[in-house]
Amino acid sequence: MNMKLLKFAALFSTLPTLMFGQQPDATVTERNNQPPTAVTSGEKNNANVDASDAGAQRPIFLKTTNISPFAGLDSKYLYRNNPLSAADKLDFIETAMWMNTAYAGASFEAVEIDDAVITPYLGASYTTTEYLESGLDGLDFASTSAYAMLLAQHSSGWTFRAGISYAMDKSKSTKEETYKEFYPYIGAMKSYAVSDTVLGIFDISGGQHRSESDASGIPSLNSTNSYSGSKELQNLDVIAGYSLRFVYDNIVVSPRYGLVYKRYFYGSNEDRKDFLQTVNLKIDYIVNENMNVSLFGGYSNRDSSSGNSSADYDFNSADGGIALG
Amino acid sequence: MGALLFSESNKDNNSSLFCSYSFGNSWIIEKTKEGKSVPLQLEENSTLNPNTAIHSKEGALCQFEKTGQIIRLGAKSIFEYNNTEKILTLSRGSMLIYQKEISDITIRSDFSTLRIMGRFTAIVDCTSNGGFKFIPLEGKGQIIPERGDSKDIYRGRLTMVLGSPSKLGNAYDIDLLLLLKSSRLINSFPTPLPSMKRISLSIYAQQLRLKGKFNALIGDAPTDDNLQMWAFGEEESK
Repeated sequence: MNMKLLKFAALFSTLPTLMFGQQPDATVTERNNQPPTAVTSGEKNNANVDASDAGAQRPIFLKTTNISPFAGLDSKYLYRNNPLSAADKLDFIETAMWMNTAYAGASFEAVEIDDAVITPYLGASYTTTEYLESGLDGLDFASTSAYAMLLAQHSSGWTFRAGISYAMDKSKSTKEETYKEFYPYIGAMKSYAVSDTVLGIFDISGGQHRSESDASGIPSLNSTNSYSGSKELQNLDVIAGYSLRFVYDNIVVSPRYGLVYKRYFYGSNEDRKDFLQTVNLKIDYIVNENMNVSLFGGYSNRDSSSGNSSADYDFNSADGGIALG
Repeated sequence: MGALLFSESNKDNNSSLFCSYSFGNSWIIEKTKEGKSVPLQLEENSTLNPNTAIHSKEGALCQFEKTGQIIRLGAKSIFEYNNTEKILTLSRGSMLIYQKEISDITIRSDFSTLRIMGRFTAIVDCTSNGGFKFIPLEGKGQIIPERGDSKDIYRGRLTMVLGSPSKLGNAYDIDLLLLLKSSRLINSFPTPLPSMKRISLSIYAQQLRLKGKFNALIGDAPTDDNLQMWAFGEEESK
């Protein structure tokens, strides 16, 4: 056999193994372990009636059970120019990605106190992430998430939440867990009407990622994701974001700017501090109460102090795609 | 039909109601020593004394305040009050009630009477049968009829008050968001109700439990056995 062909065959056969070490950065992986942060009404303009003195009295019927279950499917097809969060542009491996999520959960009977309504939530989700670029398919993984949360809507307009979530990533190639975490967190959100059709939403949260990550030490292609200790990725984070929702009939346009600060404590990540900025734009077309079609795009930039490691954790990444859910 | 609203006041006068807002024509019917009725046009900053009736004309709105209470009166309403017995009488029209602190008050219409113990914001809407609808927007407490069992105040639950001695008739959960958007008693005044944040919380709590809406609007009650319902389409489920 021709030597060139042999070299290609060897490369293709070993590529998936090499990719095991070059995992996607678990600290920036999207996981659906965040419960809903607000209740929105599906009502449109059917309340647009002439004013009367007492007001229009439309009878309604209320749920008779104390549990309100919900479930659904989301599919995203997107392009990402730096899915592995590489620092050097030469290491960028652009790829299309396919993400599918199944989720289910329930809210339980709300407790009404003087100035707040507190609602318990439980939920879980399962997400598969597939890289469509040839050679990256060895990095395909599945994420399992679950959460328990108390959501308190205060009369001041602020929504407070506290809970704990669990997330776990499993490599589809090796069938082994590569990352798992428990994430106790607290958060607060305030939304207000900027105008009749524009809603402003400020959100802030923080928590501790009590994670265990792949400590196999398999050398990676760029070495930045070669974990040498299972607690290396444990961190405290503070997340803040501001978004606007422009509503035009069935179309909702939502630009968002977000900031994330993370501090790490273990191994080569000791004293590492990350500062992540994100800008996103999402355009939803509401097909009906149960289905949206969305176009989305975003840009992320991470500035990292790198801690004890000489590795460069800075990166920037852009993505865009379409979602159905 | 008219409406009356009560809410918190910063005024110091504990016995008389102070008119903090008036729109359109409303008349205070004073009685002379000889018993003659003398109409005086209501003006802002004027005082409504106990046992003195006020008539609001078509399109008119007015707001009265005293410590811990605001009363908003809708158009074509006739209202008077008795401080000693804490009775608010709405002979015609509609009103919305906010009571800042827990209190014990009585609402009367032509034929019906309802005692309310609690802290609340509520709309009272007179019906042609001489009774009225009691619609709490927020609050805690109890509504106590002259006969029959009392009930807890429950936000968004319209309760018919019927007959004399009065009893509680049918109750209907109604769409608070729609009521809020369409009520002149809530929206057509220059200052928002002090309880507006709690009303918003009531709407949020109702949305959490909302299963569906009937495409109908509740109208007048010409008799104790009849309640008008104006249908406008098929049932909508959520």
